[in-house]
Order: sequence, then structure tokens, then C-alpha cells
Amino acid sequence: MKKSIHFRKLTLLLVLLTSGAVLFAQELTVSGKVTDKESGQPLEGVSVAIKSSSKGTTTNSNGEFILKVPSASSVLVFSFVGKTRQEIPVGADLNFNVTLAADNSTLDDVVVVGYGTQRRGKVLGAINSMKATEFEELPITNLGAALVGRVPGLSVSGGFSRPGSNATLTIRNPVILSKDGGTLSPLYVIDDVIRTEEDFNLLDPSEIEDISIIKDAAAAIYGVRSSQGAIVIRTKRGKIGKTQISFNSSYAINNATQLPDMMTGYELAKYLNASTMARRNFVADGSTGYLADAAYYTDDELEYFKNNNYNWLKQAWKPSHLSRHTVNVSGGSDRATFFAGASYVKQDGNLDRISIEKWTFRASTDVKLTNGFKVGLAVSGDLGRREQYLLKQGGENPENDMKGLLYTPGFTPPYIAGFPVRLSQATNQNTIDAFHFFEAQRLNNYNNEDNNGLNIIGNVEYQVPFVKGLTAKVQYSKTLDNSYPKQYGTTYKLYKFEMTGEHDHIYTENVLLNNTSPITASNGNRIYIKPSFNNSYQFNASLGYTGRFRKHDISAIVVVEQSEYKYNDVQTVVETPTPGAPDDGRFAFGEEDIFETEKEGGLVGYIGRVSYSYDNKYLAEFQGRLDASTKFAPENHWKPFYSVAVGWVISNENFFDKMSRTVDHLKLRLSMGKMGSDNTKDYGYIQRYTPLQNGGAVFGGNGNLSIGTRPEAIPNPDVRWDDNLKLNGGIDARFLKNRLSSSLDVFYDHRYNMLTALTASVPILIGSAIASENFSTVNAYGFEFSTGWRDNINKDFTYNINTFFNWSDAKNVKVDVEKGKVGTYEDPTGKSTDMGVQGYHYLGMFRTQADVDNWLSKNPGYTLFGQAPKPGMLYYQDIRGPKDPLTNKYAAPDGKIDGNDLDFITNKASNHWGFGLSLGAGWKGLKLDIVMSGSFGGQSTVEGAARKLGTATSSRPAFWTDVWTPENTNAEYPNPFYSSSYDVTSAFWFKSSFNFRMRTANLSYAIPAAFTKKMGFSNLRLYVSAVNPVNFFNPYSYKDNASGSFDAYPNLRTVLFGVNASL
Amino acid sequence: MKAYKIYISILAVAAMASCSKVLEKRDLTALQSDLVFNDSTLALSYVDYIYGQNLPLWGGTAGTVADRTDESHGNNRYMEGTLQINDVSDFGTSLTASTSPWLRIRVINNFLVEIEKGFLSRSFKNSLKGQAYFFRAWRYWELVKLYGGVPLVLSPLEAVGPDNKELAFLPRNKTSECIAQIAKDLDSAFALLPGKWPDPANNGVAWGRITSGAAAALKGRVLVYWASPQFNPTQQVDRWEQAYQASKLAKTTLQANGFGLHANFETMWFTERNNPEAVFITGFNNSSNDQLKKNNGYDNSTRPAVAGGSGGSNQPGRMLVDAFPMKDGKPITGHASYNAQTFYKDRDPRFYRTIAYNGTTWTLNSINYNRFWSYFSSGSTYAPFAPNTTQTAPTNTGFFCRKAIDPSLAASNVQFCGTDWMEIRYAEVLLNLAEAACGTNRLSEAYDELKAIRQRAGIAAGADGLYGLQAGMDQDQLFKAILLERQIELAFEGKRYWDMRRWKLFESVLNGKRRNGTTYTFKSSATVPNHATFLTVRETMNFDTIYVNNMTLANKVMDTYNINWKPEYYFFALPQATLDNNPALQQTNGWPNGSFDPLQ
Repeated sequence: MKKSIHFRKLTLLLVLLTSGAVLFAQELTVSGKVTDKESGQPLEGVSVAIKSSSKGTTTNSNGEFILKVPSASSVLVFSFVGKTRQEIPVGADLNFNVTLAADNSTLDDVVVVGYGTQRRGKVLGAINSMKATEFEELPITNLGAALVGRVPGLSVSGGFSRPGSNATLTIRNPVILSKDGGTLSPLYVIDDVIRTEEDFNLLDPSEIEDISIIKDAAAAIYGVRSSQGAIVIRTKRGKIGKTQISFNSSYAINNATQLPDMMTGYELAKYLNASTMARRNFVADGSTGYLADAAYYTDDELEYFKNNNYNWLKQAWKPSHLSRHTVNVSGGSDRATFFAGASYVKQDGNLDRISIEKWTFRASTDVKLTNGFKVGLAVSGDLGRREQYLLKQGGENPENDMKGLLYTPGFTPPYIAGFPVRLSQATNQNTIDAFHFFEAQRLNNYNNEDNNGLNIIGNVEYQVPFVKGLTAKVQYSKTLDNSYPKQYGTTYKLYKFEMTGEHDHIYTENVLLNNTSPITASNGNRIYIKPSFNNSYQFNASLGYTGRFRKHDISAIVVVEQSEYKYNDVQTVVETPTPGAPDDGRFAFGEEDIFETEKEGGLVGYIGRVSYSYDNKYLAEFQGRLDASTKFAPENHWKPFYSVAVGWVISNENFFDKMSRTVDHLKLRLSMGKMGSDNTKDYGYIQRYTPLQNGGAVFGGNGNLSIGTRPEAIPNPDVRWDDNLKLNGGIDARFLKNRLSSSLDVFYDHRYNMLTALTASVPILIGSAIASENFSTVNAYGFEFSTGWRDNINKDFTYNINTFFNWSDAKNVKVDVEKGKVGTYEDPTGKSTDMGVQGYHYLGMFRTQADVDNWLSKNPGYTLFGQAPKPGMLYYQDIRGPKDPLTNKYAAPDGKIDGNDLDFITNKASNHWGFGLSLGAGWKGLKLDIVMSGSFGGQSTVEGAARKLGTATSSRPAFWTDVWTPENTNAEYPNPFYSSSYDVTSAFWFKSSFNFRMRTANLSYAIPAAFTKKMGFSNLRLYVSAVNPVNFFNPYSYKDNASGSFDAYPNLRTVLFGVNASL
Repeated sequence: MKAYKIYISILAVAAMASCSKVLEKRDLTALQSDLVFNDSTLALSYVDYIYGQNLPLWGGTAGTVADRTDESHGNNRYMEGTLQINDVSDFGTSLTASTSPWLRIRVINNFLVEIEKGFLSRSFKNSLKGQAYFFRAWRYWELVKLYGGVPLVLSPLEAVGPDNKELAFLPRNKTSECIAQIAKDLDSAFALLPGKWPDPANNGVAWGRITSGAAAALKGRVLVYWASPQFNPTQQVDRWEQAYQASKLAKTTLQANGFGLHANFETMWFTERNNPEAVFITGFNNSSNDQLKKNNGYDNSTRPAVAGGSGGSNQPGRMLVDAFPMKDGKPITGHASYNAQTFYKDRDPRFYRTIAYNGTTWTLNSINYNRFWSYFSSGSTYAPFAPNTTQTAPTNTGFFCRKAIDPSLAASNVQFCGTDWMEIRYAEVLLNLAEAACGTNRLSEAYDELKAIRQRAGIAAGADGLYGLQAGMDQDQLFKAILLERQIELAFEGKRYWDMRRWKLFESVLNGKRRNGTTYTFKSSATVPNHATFLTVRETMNFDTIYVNNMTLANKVMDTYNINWKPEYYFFALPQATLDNNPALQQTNGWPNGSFDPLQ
């Protein structure tokens, strides 16, 4: 079979090559049958088209087709979703038996690279790519989160908790040292247009064809901003074949993997008593005793709290829902193809009034006008809405909902007899302790944002006649983004109540109405709207060439790229919205303010690439780009970038033939690139002054604050691009009939002249920030190893296992360091960028006065941060005395625990080792995919927010119930009052940083064709999918280790049910 | 050949599209020097930024710090004796922190250089430069009084490149050099500034700007400190002489421009524009607009919770209560008409304007409280202090501070209080002059200034016309009398802490002691058998009878430890981060590795 096709191909080639002038040919009728290579079953609905014409047909339920073709020189194109496309010349034989193989022979996969595509087998860079089908069914609303655990060297953080908060992606441990204007994020390129991270996250997986993650110098083709790597996305386009319509609809439930466990009101009161007792030196009676202290909770009060507890968070928290619906239509002939798709996603929050809603749509068509002349047009857009609370008490922070709910003590009821309770007696109600979440919720205090974006790409491609393989292409992309954020904050009234209990700590139902109750708390008390408009374009003109001369394959491309953006926003504020009136500025009668911001920028780049291969054995590639950035002075605008890569496909060598039974493919590759970035603030080369509306002072008795004009950072006229030399070496191998595949990449990034906002090495006396200077050198290095096994046991049962393992670290060669730290343990020069956890060497807790006396007899004069030691305190090892400013040498231990006794108490602070494990299995229509990942090697500690001293208005996690008092000397935790002794980093607070969790799991079932056919579907699948289903290891008792600080929106577990259908 | 042409033409199209305009972008978010220093409004707004950066808070740059003195109480490392070298970080520990004094100094230095490059009129430039010089002196003074000498940076330091940075690692200048520079800047300010800004009634935007009198008054203050034992342990008389000359010039300059003692010790705070007492002020306003407001937090945190505040701050302790003399100006100790049970009777009128005790008559929120109660009815139960209201947050010490508490402010507006802060008021100028006169043995002149203060306070002149001052005091006695006068006249104005420092009073006044308050508890009597009855008669009963028959007064120990101020606290340590940043800086004597003598 295979031979016959080859033979026909050959004859056709001969015919084409020898007869430049084929005259009129006879119309022929061809017929045949298409079957599935894996199952042997006939395939229905396979598109059979005649190349370079609009004619075609599809196979019937028996996989058969009949088609009239113009001549024997016609080429038939067989295509079907999920199968490898085949082109077969008609030739003499008019009957075809075609088998289509599953599209997983990844060596011939097309990988998207900068300004083009490449066959996987020829790729020379460290590039991972994947199809959107791998994750398009997951219940994830931001694309970045979908990539977690799938790509070695790509770290994904966040994206699984608060609706609307996106994941952050970084590639290979990037470093930036400039203060503003820089980013650790890779460059995002969608359909050859440089776009924003937000644009990337807004994409719905159903719109995407494939994603490439470019980790090494291969990104040099993108020049500017590509030194942190690039993520290149190709969206779906129409495919030749029968019109396919597919729907996907799913519904999910989200809930916290673990809600933070806090002290109850009773426990908090006991804890506070322990603190009060220590403050009063454990003296019970008399005017200086704790029993007389108004803050002390008496027994009757404690007893009451035992039975009257209010869990604010549980009252507010509920499972939330996510639904997603997509529809795609795709099809076309060889002459013209089209694609249209739309998606709708809605997710609500676990607290009422938090939600996101997103529409995306995309339509594209590619038309061949005449031979060699192609026109493409794509329009895509998104409409999004994000709803969250406006939370301004205690500083504007979207996490204040969680903080407010968690911190409020359990002994405080939210409402009594319908009156909201005043939480903090302090004058300043503008604190998180005073914030009453339920009132903000009731009053609809929101911080919402509507976004819409529109992108139009038009391109014209012309295959230049007379020069075979030469293609000219012009592409113009226009992007318009609008956003309309609006904040609505009100005031609300909070009431005091008559108190009972011996120390007046128990609320009664008698509300107080006097001049201190109600008090008005202000949650912003304003309406703020900031519409913005961003208008940008990118224009590319390119000339590409591919050619083959005997065994020499050459392809080359030259591109001119130009882009500009202009950004405008208007910020308007109206204060004092009328209580009870609609959330509309016309009903607010306070002060009004308007500010405007305008920004603009431009980029021009000249780009070129030449790829060469000899006999598919020796591969080489050169890329170059000349870019200009308006961030620098005109004389420093331009900078060249380039990369060189070479490869050797050993498996194509003749001497390799003997091994070819076990090794199918073996390739060595090396790449080197000179990159750079303009990761700094704009206009650092000139002295800037900004007038601030509130920067001045009050004159004339009671005037408004006058305008004050502030000088900005000291300019650096010489600021220019920084430099980044990237090296990457890799091996790709496939064994045992392509079932086992492995890949190893080792990289070394030498970043020098790095744009650095110097602070530490700058004398404070200079008194101002300095614009970034090209100063530092940091080397980053690491490796990524991945291996996978894919096989089928029989024709019904397939399975695969993929794993990866990666490690990275970086070394400070030349960085900003204080003169006084040079040569000390704190000097980062020559050390890893991760020097470990800095803290005190923990020795233990003083349990009794005898412990203290004993210690003092051995260490006379020992003090802890100035305080004499007491039972109930943690104590630390004294390792140094004061530092001599002349020599930077520390004196011998001085018996005083202070900043001089800090040390790096672990080797690493963060996890440098990462691993991933994906499992897949399929049996007939059932399919299971599981992605697991983890990391280790660092050190976690109990976060500062959990260690801090709790107060009567701010509760703490539940572990604090076991604290030291003279009656409980064996307590696990110190007495809370001695916070300066324990609220420091030490091994006392260590937790394991190992984490390993199942990220996603997806189980789907394709209903057998026999049934679906009757229902009119060509394909119908049901699936269940989960995000964060299992956490294999959690060292924390009071929170999920993936949640970050306990007082942030927790990590969510999502379970989804979906259906996918095609017509 | 044709392909080549196409290649060329495509590049040509591309080149045309990418005409150089793509790269000709302007910074639309900021202004440049040529604009700022050639426009009178923008140049003035730069100076206003200097004001915004440097004007002190209520109570001075550090606040009222009453908890570090005998005025109030409170746990802190100063009193506990556990101060660490990093605790006084005013020197600045980071290059970019907006609170760094060096950032503020650079803004001023930059102004003094750049303004000369513009073409604004000479007289306008001078009036702006005078203000800048004043604030440079102010900023340096705020550092020197904490640490002694600091590096003198008088022009914007070059910063880009390693060589420039190396040149900016400057050591500390001697304290005497700093004082000389501060005096010089204040002389420049004095010469360039008007005695009074034209302030037309309908456009009163100049009130609050620095005058020549303010510059002279600050110089007087600085030189009085410089002559005080903290800086001048050997009591070199020439320093007192310089202080005297400066204070005298301040007084005459201010007098010539309409400044003087405000007639009313209580309401002087609420006279804003053209207040004769206000020599150097920080203006506050009562706006609630986020962008335009600058509210004074002192009133809010000081007044009783019942009036819309927390009552948490600045509660007078017993030491201050007892420091006030009787209304004849004589001290309470051994005074015939003083009785501890009715301690409030017949005191210095300033006592009633400064301290609220149990039963005070007080107007708050425009409500006239006949008697503002703050006693316990029994045990720990706080009593209702006025009909239909409950004071649930008691005063810990038994007293509230009522100085500069605006009586007419509504409870809901307390957070937006706009009372201006008088950092230097005329009374201080007179007290500085009195002290300098005393230091130079011009004792009768010192008497005169004290008498003027006491006269305004409302103390009876007495038969000898000395307003209760002891006749014929020697220099030492007179110094003590002046300090006492400052303690009561300037109570809760953030001055006492600095007076205690410069006269090194902590050891004698506070060390080894705990500060006290007072509790009042209702007790029954024959005529008032229980608290319920008391509630019906307490507004009308004879006030003294209430205290004698129905109140138990008890001492309340406020501190939980004995105060232990250490001698090295008179000149603070530079923080470790500062030393790490700049090894050319020497640590202050008395602290680890200290080698800098602040007395030079």
C-alpha cells in the first residue's frame, strides 16, 4: 500500500517535472474507501478535496467516496480531524484505499516558531509545543493556569483561586533588577502579533490551534522583550474539508481545597488573656494585676463565648459555579477556508457578588485569489466583565474580603437585632480590623471592570512567480482595547451595644444610639471610573524563501516590523454618593476630580532568518534582528540581536542503521543567542518632573492641598539595552518505534550590563532613585529532562506516561550590594540569587524561670532584642557581635540577640527542583488524563500574617490555642505577648516546602458512533474534569500549602461535567 | 532580477511606513526642567512640594511623643531601656524611601540649582529660595537634634556611574559645622523672606508661608538647644550669647510684623489666618476629599471616644497634673489652699485648658457638658457620664487632654479636623529668649518674658507683680522655673520630650519610677446612699461635696515596668542599614563600635 502511493507520487513528480506544458486532460472519476489506521474501521465524513480547486466531497458511512477530477495530474487531499492529512496524486489508478493515521507522529508535527513554522524533527531550539486539545476541557478561566505541570521549565503560579486573578507564567528562572518597566513574563505572540499577557489569558482554548513555549535563544527573532522567552500562539484557521460544527458545554463547581482554620471566639479570648497576663507580669490582683485589666476576659465571659461563636467566613462562603460554552464552525475547500468560533464563560465567586464573565469570538477566512496569491482576514474580540468588591478600609486590597472575614473574632456577632456591630473601638475606622464585610456586601460596594478588545489581522501572501519558493507577505494587525473599571464605595453605619459580663465583653441586644453610636465607616465613599483606550497596530512585511538543491534545504525570511501604541485614560472621582441612591455619579454630590494619562510608544525592527539543512542530517540556523526602543535616548535606540543554532540528526547517518531498530530518532542541538531587553522605565534618560495634586501644603488657613511638583529619578543619559547571552544544548531521542521519547536540555544564560535600579550600593545621601544603569551580571543555569512512553496494548487500549524533571538556579556575579555588606555572610556576590532563608538559629523555648536562670548563669547579660529573657519566650543562638564598620568584620558573640545574629539558616528559600507526571489511558471511547506536578528543595515557613500578635479585633489561625502560660509550660507555642521574641524567622516556624499535587484530571467517554449517528452527531463525548483534585502532601494544619498566606482567597478545587459534540 | 525588484519594492514600502515618526515619541506623563523653572506657577508648586515634604506633624516631626515623658504614659523601648540601634531610623535607611531626609534635602538642593537656570525675576527667585533655605535648615536641624552631626550635602550629588557614587560616600560633619550651616541657611532665609506675606483678604493663599520672623525664631530655637546641656555639657557661655542674640532678633522681627501673644490661651488654636501667635505652622484643612485633604489626626485620637474620638492618646498622667501651679502661680507643694482630694480647685487657668478631669465642664461637639464624668460607679463598671449616653472607653489615667480639641467639631467630622499646628508659636519665642537671657545672666529680662507668658495665661499678678514667680531666683533656679513654665505652657505640644533631652532630665525625673494615673470610684454617703440616687443629683450637687463625700480617689500605676532611660539615648545610633550603606559614617559614641563624638 505504502509503496504504491510512493510510486504514484514519484510518477506524478516525473510528469510534473518533465512536462512543463501538460495540455488538456480528460475528466476522470475516482472512487475509494477511507479507513482508520488504528481501528481499521471505515471513516465517515473524511474530506476528499481536489488540491487547488474548490471541488470535493466527503466519505459516506462506509468510508466510501466518488469524485470527478479534472485530470490524472490532480492531487487528492484527504483530511479528517485528529488524523494526519494525506495528499495523493490521482495518476493512473482510479481506485483508492486510503488509511488515515492518528495525528501523533510528532516528529512531523509542525511547531510554531517565530515568523513561521518548523517540523518538530528539525527544531534546534528549546521549544515545547502542545495542542490546545490537551487542555481545552479543563475548568480554567485563564489560559496560563491551564499550562501548569505540563511544560518543563515553565513555572505557573496562581490562577486557581480568586475568579479573575490570572496565573503568572515565567520561563526558566528569569531575573530582573530594574525597578519598574521590566517584566519577568515571557513575550506573548498571537498569530505573529506581539500582544499582552492579558490578551493571552483572555484566549479561550477552543480558539487555539497550538502553543509553543520558546525557552532559549530561538526567541531572539523577537528581539525586544524576548529575553525572558516567548510564548507563541497560533489560533485556529479553517481547514479544508467538510464543514465541521462542534459544541462544548460544561458546568463546574468550585470550592476551597481547605478553608483557613481560625481560633474560635473562646480560644481567642483565652489567647488574649495569656497575653494580658504576661503584660501584667503574671500578677493577678491589685491595681497592677491582670484581673483588674479591662482587657482581661473573665470566666463568665469565657463561658459565654464557648456557646456563642460566629464564624464569619463560613457564613459568607459557599461553593461557586463555572459554566462554559463554546461553538466552532470550520471548513472550506482548497480555494477558501473559514473558521468561526465563539465562547462564553461565566464563573461566580465563593462570596456573593464576585464573578467573571467572558465572551470571545473569532472569525477568519483564507482565500486563494489566483495561483500563488492568498488573502487572509481574521477578526477576533473579547468582551469581559469582572466583578469584585471595593475594599478600601485598611488600604485598597481585593484580599480584604478574606482578611475581614478571617480576622474578625468569633466572639463578635455580625449583626444584633438587625444592627451591624461596630468591630473596632479605635477612632480610626479606616483599618481592616474595623471593616464589616457583610455591610460592604449588602451595600453593593463593588470594583467592577468591563473590557472589550478587538483585533483585526489582514494579510496578503504572494508566491512570487519565476522564483520558486519565494513568498512575499504583508500583514497588518490592529488592536483596540477598551476598559471601563468602575468602583462604587459607600459609607455605612456601625453600632455599639450595651455590654455585659464582668469586664463588659459580651454584647447585649440593647443598641446604643448616641453620639458615638452609630459611627460611620467609610469604604471609599466615592465613585471612581477610569475608562481607558489603547490603540495599537503592528505592521509586518516579509519575504520568505524555501528551496532545495539536491541535499541542501534552505529557507530564509526577511521581515520588517513596526508597531506603535497610544494609551489614554481618564480617571474621574466623585465623592460621597448619596446613601440609598443608585450607584450613579449623578447622585453623588461631593468633590469631583478628573485626571488624565496619556502614553505612547513605538518600535521598529528588521528581522532575518536563514535555516539550512544538509540531507536532513546537519542543521543550522541563523536569526538576526535589529530593534529600536523609544525607552532610550535617540542615539541608543537601536540594538542588534542574533542567534545561531546547529544540529546533528545522528539517526539519519548511515552508520546508525544498525541501531535504528531501537533508536528511531536521535538529534543533538546547540543554540547560542545574543539577546537583550529594555526592561526599564520609559524616558530614564531625561530629568522628569511630575505635578501632584496633593503634593503641596495647606495655605490660607483652610485651603485645599496645593499642587506640588516633584522631581523624579536622577536621569541616566547613557541608559541602553542590556545584554543576555543564552546558550542551550539539547538531545532529542525516540526509541522503540517512537513509543519512548526523551529530551534533555541544558541551559546557561549569561546576563550582563543588566538594567539595574541601583539602591544598595548607592549612598543614601544622594537622596533619590536613579534611572536604571547597565550594571549587573547574573548567570542562570539549569536543565530540563523529559521522557514519555506511549503505546497501545491492543487496538482498544492505549496509554501514555510523560514525566519531566527540571532544576534551575542563578548566580550573582556582579550585583548591587551595600558597601558595608561586602565580604560578610550577607554579600550576595558570587552566590546563588537564592541565598536561603535568613533568620535566627532557634534553640528552644524557656519553659520555666529555672530554665531562664540556668541560661543566664551560663550566658550572663543575655538579651533578646533588648529584652531580658522570660519564661514563655523563644530564644536563639548568639552567633555574632556588632560589625566593625571599618573592616566589615563581626565581633565575637556578645550575649545579645539582635540583627547581628541573623544568618542564612537554610541553603535555599524557594523550590529549585520541579517535576511533572502526566498519565493518560484510553479504552475504546473512555479516556483518562491526569496531570500531576510538584517541587522541592526550598524551605517554607509559617507566614508573617499568621505569626503576628493577635488582638481583640484581629484573630489568628487555630494553632495559637496552645500557648505558654505558667499553667501550661509545655505549650507548643510561646506566650503571644512576647511577640518581638517569636515574630522573627527561625527554624521554629519551618514547614516542609515539598509539594506534590494532582493538578488536573479529565475522564471522558465518547459515545459509540452507532448511537451518535442516530442522534445526528458525528461525535459525542461526555466528560468529567477536575482541577486540584488531590493534594498529596500538606505540612500546614490551618491552610492549604498552595494558598499562600492564610488570609488570601484560598486555592480552589473545581469539578466539572461537560459534553462535547460535533456535527 | 525581478525578484530582486520585488524585494526592493517591499522594503521600500516598509521603510515608508516606518518613517522616523514611529520612533519620535514624547514623554506625555511628565514635565521637563525648561518648563518647570520658567513658569512662576510651576516653580511655586515645586516649592509647595518642599513644604509638603517637610512640614511637621501635629506635635512636631515625631508627633507629641507624650508617652516618652512625664506628660503621659505608654510602653515603649525608650522608657523600657531596650532601644535598639535600628529603632531611630530618621536618618534614612533606604535610598528611595519617600521619608528619607536625604531625598527631601536633594529636592531642596536641586531647586536651589535649577531655579537659577530659569529666567524668572530675581525678586521672585529670591522669595522662593528663602523658603527653600528655611526648609533645608529645618531638615538638618531635625537630624542634628537626634544624632548630632550628620553629613552636610549642600548641592545635588551626581549619581550615575561608579565614580560619582564613590564621591558621595560622605562622612558625618561635626555637630558644630552642622549648627553653623543651619544658622547660615536661616540667615539666608531671613535675608530673602518678607516679614509678612501680602495676604489680601479674598485671596489669602500666602498665610502659612515661611516669614523672616519664622527663620529668626527657628534659629533662636536651634541655638538654645545648642547651648543646652545635651550639646553643651560644659556650659560655654558664648553659645548662650548667640542664642540670646538670635532669640532677641526673632522677637523684634516678629513684633515688627504684628506677631505677639494671642489674647486667649484656649482659642488661639482655632484662629487660623493672621493668628499673631502662629510663627511657623503646618496648615491642616477639613476637606474630606481624598486628593485635597490634609486633616490633623491629633484631635481625632486625643478627644474622648464619646465625642467621636478614641480617647486613646495623650492622656495626662499624674506628674503633669501636679506640675501645674495654683491660680496664684505658686506650686501646689506646701500651698495652703491645695487639697489632694479636690486637686482641681484654684489651679493655673491653663490647667483647665489642658486637662479634663472627672466632672470637668466641657463643650464637645457643640454640646455643653455641665459635668463630664469619668468615674467608676463600682469596681470596674464605668459610669454613665451624661444623661442618655455611656462612656464605654474610659480614660486609663483618669484624665483627658483637652488642649486644642475643637469644641465645635461634630462627631462625624472629627476625622477631618482642620486645626492648624503651630510648630513655633510666639510663647515659645519668648520662652527661648527667657532661657537665653538667663544663660547670659540677663535675669530680669528672663523674668519679664515669664511674666508676659503668665499674664496671658491669666495668673494673678500678685502683690509683687511676679505672677507667682519666686522673687530673686538665681540662674539655676530661674532655668528650672523656665523649664517648668515650658512644661505647662507647651504641654502636649511635643516639646517636653526634647526639653527633657536637652536638659538631660530623664534620669532625675523618670528613671526607676512608674508613671501614675488616678481612678475615681463612687462611694455612698449619708445624703447619697447609692449610685442610682447619685445619678439624679450629680449635675446639681455642690461639686466639691461630691469629691469630698462621694468619690474615692486612688492612685493607678500605669507602667508595667520601672523606667530605665539610658544615657546613650541623648544621641541616637545610626541604624545598621545606614552604616552598611555608607561605611564612611561613624557610629555615635555610646553605641556599639561608636566613634563619633556628637559634642564636637
